[in-house]
Amino acid sequence: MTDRTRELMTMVRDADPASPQDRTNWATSTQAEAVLRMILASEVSVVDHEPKEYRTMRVVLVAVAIVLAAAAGAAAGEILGTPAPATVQQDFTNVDVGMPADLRLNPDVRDARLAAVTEGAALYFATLSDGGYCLEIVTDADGARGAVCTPGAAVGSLSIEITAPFTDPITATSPIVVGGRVNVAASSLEARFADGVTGAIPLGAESFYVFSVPNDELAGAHTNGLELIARDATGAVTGSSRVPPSETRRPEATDRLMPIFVSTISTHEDFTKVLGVEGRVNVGHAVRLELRYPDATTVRIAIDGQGRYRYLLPSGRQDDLAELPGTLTAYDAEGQQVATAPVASVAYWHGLG
Amino acid sequence: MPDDREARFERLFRSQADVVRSYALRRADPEDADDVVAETFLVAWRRFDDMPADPRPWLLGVARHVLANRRRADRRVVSLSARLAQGVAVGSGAHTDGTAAGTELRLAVISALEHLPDKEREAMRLLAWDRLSPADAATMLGCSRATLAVRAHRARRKLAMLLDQEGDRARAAPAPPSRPIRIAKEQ
Repeated sequence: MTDRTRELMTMVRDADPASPQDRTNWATSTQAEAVLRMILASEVSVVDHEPKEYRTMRVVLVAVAIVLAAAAGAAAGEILGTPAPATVQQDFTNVDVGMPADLRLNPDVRDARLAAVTEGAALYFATLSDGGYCLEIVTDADGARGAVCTPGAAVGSLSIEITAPFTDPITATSPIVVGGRVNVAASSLEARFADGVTGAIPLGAESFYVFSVPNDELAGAHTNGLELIARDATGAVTGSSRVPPSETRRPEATDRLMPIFVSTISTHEDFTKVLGVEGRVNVGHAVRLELRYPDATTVRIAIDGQGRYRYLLPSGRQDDLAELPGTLTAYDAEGQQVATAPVASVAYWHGLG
Repeated sequence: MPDDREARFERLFRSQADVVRSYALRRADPEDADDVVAETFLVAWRRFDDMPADPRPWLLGVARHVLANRRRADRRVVSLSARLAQGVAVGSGAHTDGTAAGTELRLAVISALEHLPDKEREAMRLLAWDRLSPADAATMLGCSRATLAVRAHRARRKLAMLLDQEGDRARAAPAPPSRPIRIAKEQ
């Protein structure tokens, strides 16, 4: 270290806004003690912290209220208002894990409770302070199926919210459980199948519902989907929504419709980071792919013979898609642009939702 | 055993909380610094069983994320030099000699630091203020030691240049002693 370097480091150290005396004073202060006691009094919430891959499209799909299958067990057949089991509470808690404070939904997990029941399935919900809610379906066969949240601003746009979890592989006899909430004035709800058969769906607490498609309608519902219709006391239709056919509920089907399918690789510890991007270029004549960061710098990404690509961002770049999207651009052999797709952090898309 | 866990966590808190608070105080308002300590150690409490043997870089890494999240939530980011110039408390300073010249030098150094690119400034702050080793600073920033060394080298070079320029300007047109020296930078 040269004299000049040493002198410079001394000047910087001397400019430190936090002095040793400040440190000592704070460490022995009542504030420090209060912070410690507050933490020790809090409940320990053990979360799975292995890095996971989260697909940006899943977040978008949440916005239209179709949810994918998830994890472990619970049971139905309880009284409405019963507190949600720990697995459901944990799933509600986890919707905010890794989100910046301004994008957290903060579901009222402590007040999460049972809102609707049918044979073999139950629906739990937790309110959001903005008037929205989170819900989760629990089935006897597959347990808790993943939390789906609807912010208050989105509630009005969904006359009947539909959540239809499924588990691969789907066959003609795979069970279909549908749940959600009726967000318009309604005194009854019915399911209408493609063959004209209808069935009444009991409304639970707070206008939530959950029902299982009858066995003899399963094949038709998988192929054609079904419609839900809400009516007021006079029988007038006040809202309707369609449960799409199983094929179009599968993420792979949606992925294939996109010129460039983009899946961001994230860690749930911090959804503002993008660790990598992967997916598939579905435009057949694309030969190369380029990622353009918000600061306009670009990086070339290789694509294989099937159009698949995977690129891990350097650590110094993992924050660069937090607040602004970058762009993936596919080019053909002549260097012509053939497709583009935005790419941004989960937190960015979450903020738009 | 829960009691043992609490005791071990309490030891961790008592040995490291002031380090985390100082880290936050160098980058945020004093009132925010306490919140950053609370949020950081709340994460540590929940993840206590996974804590590495040397917890300091890990804790500062969490504090860094907490600060980043708070900045995204609240755009009121006021530079440290601006707070100092406005007389807002940011701690008494490490070795303030109480003279006007000492205060001016301190402000000049802080202003020059704020003039550096983010990554170079953070490398310098971690080494000079938070007293991390180059290896720990690199771990915390998620970069290699070589990268950290390059950032620190560039930071020192630019700091020296900025402070030399400021010294030349001060000699050419001396400012009133009570006026803090500032190196202008749009925030």
